Amino acid sequence: MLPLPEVTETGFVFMFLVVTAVFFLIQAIPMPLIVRFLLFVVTITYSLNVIFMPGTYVSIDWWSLFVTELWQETGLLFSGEWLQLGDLYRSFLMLLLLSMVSYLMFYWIVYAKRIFFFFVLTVIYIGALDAFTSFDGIGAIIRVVAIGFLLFSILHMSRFTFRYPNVRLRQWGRFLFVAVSVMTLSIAIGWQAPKYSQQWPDPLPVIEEAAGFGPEGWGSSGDDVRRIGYGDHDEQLGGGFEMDETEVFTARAETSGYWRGESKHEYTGHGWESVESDETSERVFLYEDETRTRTSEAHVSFNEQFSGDLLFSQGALQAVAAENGEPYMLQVEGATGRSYANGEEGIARPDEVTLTYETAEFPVEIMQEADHPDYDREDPSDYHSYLQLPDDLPERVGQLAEEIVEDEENRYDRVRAIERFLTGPDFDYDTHDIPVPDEGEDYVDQFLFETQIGYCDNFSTSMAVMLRTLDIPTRWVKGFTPGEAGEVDENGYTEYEVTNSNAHSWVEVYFSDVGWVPFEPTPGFSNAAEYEMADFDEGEASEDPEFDQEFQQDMEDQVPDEEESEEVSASASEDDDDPSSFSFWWLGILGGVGLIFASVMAYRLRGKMITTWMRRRYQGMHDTSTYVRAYESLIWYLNWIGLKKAGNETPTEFAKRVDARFNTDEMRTLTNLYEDLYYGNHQLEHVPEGTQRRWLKLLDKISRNH
Amino acid sequence: MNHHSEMIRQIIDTVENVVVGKREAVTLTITALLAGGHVLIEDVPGVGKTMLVRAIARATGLDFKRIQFTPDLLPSDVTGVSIYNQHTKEFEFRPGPVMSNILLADEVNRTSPKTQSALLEALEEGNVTVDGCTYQLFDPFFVMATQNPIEHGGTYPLPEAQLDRFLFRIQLGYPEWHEEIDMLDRMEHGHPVDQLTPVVEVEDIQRMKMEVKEVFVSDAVKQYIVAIVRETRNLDRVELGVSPRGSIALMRAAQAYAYIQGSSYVRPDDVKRVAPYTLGHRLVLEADVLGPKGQDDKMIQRMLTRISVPSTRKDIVT
Repeated sequence: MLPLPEVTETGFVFMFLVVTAVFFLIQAIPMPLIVRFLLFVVTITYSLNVIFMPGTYVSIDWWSLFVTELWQETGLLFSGEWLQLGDLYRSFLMLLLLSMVSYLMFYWIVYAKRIFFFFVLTVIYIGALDAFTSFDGIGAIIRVVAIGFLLFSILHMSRFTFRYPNVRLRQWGRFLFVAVSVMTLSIAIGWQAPKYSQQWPDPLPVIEEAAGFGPEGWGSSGDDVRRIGYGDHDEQLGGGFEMDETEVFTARAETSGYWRGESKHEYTGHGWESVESDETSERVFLYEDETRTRTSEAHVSFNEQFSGDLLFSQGALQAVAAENGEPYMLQVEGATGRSYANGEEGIARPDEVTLTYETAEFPVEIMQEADHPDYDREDPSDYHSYLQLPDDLPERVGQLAEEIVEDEENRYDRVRAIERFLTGPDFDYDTHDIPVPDEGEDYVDQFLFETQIGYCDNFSTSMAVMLRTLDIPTRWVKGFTPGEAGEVDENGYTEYEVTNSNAHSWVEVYFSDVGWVPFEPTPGFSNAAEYEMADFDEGEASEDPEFDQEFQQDMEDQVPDEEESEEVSASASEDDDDPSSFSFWWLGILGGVGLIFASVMAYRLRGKMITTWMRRRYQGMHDTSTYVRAYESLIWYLNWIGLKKAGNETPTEFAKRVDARFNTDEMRTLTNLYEDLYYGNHQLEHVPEGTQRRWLKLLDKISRNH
Repeated sequence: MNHHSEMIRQIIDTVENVVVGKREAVTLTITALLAGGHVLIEDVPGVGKTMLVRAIARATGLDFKRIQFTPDLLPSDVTGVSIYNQHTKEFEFRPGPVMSNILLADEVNRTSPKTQSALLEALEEGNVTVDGCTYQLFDPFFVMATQNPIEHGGTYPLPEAQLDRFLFRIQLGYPEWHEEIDMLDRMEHGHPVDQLTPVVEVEDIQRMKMEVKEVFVSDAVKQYIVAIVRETRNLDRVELGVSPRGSIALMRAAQAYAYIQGSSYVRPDDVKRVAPYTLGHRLVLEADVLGPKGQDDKMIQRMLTRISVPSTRKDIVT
């Protein structure tokens, strides 16, 4: 009943619980039917009195009021105006229902001694609540399963007592003990064991959407668990999210790279603030003139349901054209790089556009000159906004950044060092159970020093903030990863399908003479940006875009799925190397499955294992002492398969029973020999010929037929 | 070993020609004979008690006498009497019926305690004393006493101390339907007991009695016997359990029974088999226990289901 407040707006849950208990009590005490009925009436009316009416219960006023109200509301009920029903009447109906349910339950449990039906219904009910409302059913499920199992075993026991009245109480105690320990164990395992995540999307958002009261737009905020997607609200980062495979756009492009949407540069300590600016231009500026660029084209068709007018492009967007020929101009917001198609009727986004963009090859050598001790060039003065940091940023963020770049001499190497640090083994990628920082907490600080688990926003924001503490102009960029690559057409264009789950964030760092260079701090992700290098001493294997793409595919394969459970990631974080922690995870799963399989097999083949062991153990049964042991182990085995020698049974009596059961006479013969040795004190040099054969034959027969 | 069990089988088969459908009683009687014990048959008249004894005597070739106990029977009528011989001018012992191999003491509860104890002294001691002279009884000496269970006026129930002089108490019971018809068939032309011929010599019986004592009783079986006997002392509604003499009796009986089965050692099965017959009449039930006679046997049988049989090495208490 605890979920009631979630489902309805019912208060006084405690009251209802008490009333239910009272109902059960009334059921349990034997009394004439009329007394029971009256007691029900009194309980119902009295509890209504407690809930709703301050007036004294035992007064004519109260009763007349109650009856009038009841009369009126019943009229409403039958005329179908249910929404008009008052609280009092609804509670009255509720109590009536409870009384009936308690009667039914009582009947089923005490008389019929069957509870399974109720149990199943309750589990379904809670499952449905969990699935279709915001109610979290885990506690309730555990509670219900525990109580249900307990009821099962008690009912089972009472049925047994009825059937076998002679069995002693002590054995019931043992029975209960076993039942309770099995129950506890299974619940504990069930609770703690890793579970499959849902196999289909959470129906709640779908239903809400279908019903028309879902959150507006794509990507909501404020909730603890959000759905991945490109959103506009980054002021409050954090929290886990669910994967969402809804398509955003498909593109045919010459190059493979991140789809850039916009950049933000105002970090608040909790997220990134949008800064409005009137400044517009006609193309996206990313690269300085000295940087070598290449112009490419992409044909993008947006999903109609994807709202907003923002354009996404690889590299620096230069021009936009509608596929249907309508004239459009590119309009770019200066500070953020948001790009829109400006047509005759103002800003609108055609469903299908051709984007012309520039991709750059970033000269590593030139980048390495920036901030070099010998380097005298300063960043443009208006780039101070890319160094903005909140005043209350904890100092240890800066200290950590300093430590990481201690040995690096120039800006590029420092950026790479920070990037390496974040993609390193100290941090884990996960989209679940990511906390939202509290009021006084800093998003980056929490991630770097406390949780060390998160997704792209955590990594990219951390990198940006750390770089800024080092006076490196950095901004935070949002967009999509390249998407799932499809077919390659005859022009060499690859088709990419970009879905909400491709939404991503990364950072761009400014280098004089080069421009804004993208970096990727999120483990398992890789930007296909080209870094041109004179030599390979750096060990950066990012020159070849194709290689990058493959690498990225590989890495994406290895990005942990949402199934990952808390424990596994906790143990994985102890691992040194990131990729290997993934494989450790797989290893764990495989090992677990193997272990379960092995236990199941061992359980199923346990009889076989015992007999095999026995055969080996008593090979070469020549002397009498071996025979005695072999015989006794045979008795033990028979006992184990359920053919137990009763204490008052003599070996001969038992042997007769065994022989009758397996239709042999071997047991009789073997027992005679055993009796000769045991009761007769016969001294034999060897056991008679064929004894071992008999023993094996009998063992075979038992193991085959039991 | 097989030689004697073959002989015993012959005896039993021979007796069975006369006593139809009482193989168990016959076997137990032979067991008692070989164990050197005596048998008390508690049954209504006419079920073949006398016939059983006569048949055994004929089959074994043993000397057989019978005493019909009456209230006026004197001890000397049992043991014998010394008579003054005028020719030799000496007292001469004239042996009573007790001087035989097999003695049928019919309706032993009808006579006076004095006469009863004269018989029972013979049972226990194996000799009789008449006028200061002790006379050794025959070997084998086997008494089969019968007792009518139906209460009659003028009976002297055997005291407890004397009841346990008997190794077994057996009930014959009525024959089955087809057995009774079978019996009528055999009786049609004369009594078959007259046609029985001995299948063994007296010496054989004597030798077998010696061999019974050689039957091995392991520690495990002894423990089992003691466990059974001790348990009788804790039984509900039993005033007095079985005495240590009962333990000895049980072991002897089990030895003889195992011997009859052709075994050189006693199995728990043998003990279990003879326990009700050996122990039932040794229980003294509480005075208010009502019910048919022989329920003490059933108490023993029920009790046996509670006593575990030592059957593995670890069961032996050392």
